[in-house]
Amino acid sequence: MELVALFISAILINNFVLHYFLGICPFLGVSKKIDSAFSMGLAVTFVMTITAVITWVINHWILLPNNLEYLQIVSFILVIASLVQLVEMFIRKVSPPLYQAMGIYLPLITTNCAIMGLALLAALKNYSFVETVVFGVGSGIGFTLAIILMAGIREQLDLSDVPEPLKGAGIALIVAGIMALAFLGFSGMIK
Amino acid sequence: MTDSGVVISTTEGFAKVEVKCLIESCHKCAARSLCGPQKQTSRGYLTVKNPLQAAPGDLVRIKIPETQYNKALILIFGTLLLGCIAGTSGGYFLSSILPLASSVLSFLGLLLGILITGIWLFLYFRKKNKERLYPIIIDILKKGDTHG
Repeated sequence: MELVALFISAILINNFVLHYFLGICPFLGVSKKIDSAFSMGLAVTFVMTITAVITWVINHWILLPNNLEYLQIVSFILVIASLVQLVEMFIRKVSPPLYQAMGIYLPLITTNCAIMGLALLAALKNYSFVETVVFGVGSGIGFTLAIILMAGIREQLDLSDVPEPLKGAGIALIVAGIMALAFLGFSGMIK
Repeated sequence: MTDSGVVISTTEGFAKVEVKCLIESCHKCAARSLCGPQKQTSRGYLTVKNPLQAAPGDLVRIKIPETQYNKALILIFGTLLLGCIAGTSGGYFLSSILPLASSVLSFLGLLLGILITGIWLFLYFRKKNKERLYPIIIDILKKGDTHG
């Protein structure tokens, strides 16, 4: 039951984009079409899950037993940077035309500050391995939900009469703020 | 999504096209001063399918299969994510049978899940999706000098 609560909490209440305001760059940059928002959300969910697991392993099997907690940030940065390279290499091997089209854009977008925030937050809350996986997947799904909702609203906004000075980033930030306020309504759901 | 570019070279069924689309969009990007790729290159090159037999020097219009890219990304990362979750769950449930810590088995399960789905994706894209993701030349806008 605790795992379910943690999962729902990561999606709705402690949403990385709308609660912690992390990962705003891809949230605004890749939320113009629902299709691309969904694919990007899945990519971020995968990277979040992997990062959560690997940083847990490094933290609990290497850093904490050797009293090296002060190396957390450095080692997590190293893990995330390596993940960028791995994702890039994997895409290049699996589908050269996709790699050619996306280039470094895809791993850079999927590896954002939300990933680092997730690793640090999971270490701070001292989750168990399974809790970390659930937290990683839930956070990724929360990110995907936020980016898809944003894409849906922005597709509608393209058809609306938005005042000239607010077009683009202006209206996107206002919408993001209103969405964050709306998500605050979930905060009393799980105690 | 379509774009235009100049054919640089051709091989059997494919052409290498020089495009300016990436650089043009870079000019509008707020992060252009920090972006490494923008500093390193001033041209973008794409390998595209060449059904119209365009020759080097031709100005061509190419169609980028954006929907196919999204489908491919969903397939790649969705499958890998499922592999992660299935592997972790499998390892976790195995810990009630095997005399090893659940975290060790879950971690090993996750690695195994990623390995299996990674290999499957590699084989799948090699067999079925090989040419679908390449952009395609849909029009020759201006003939180059190499035409007779």
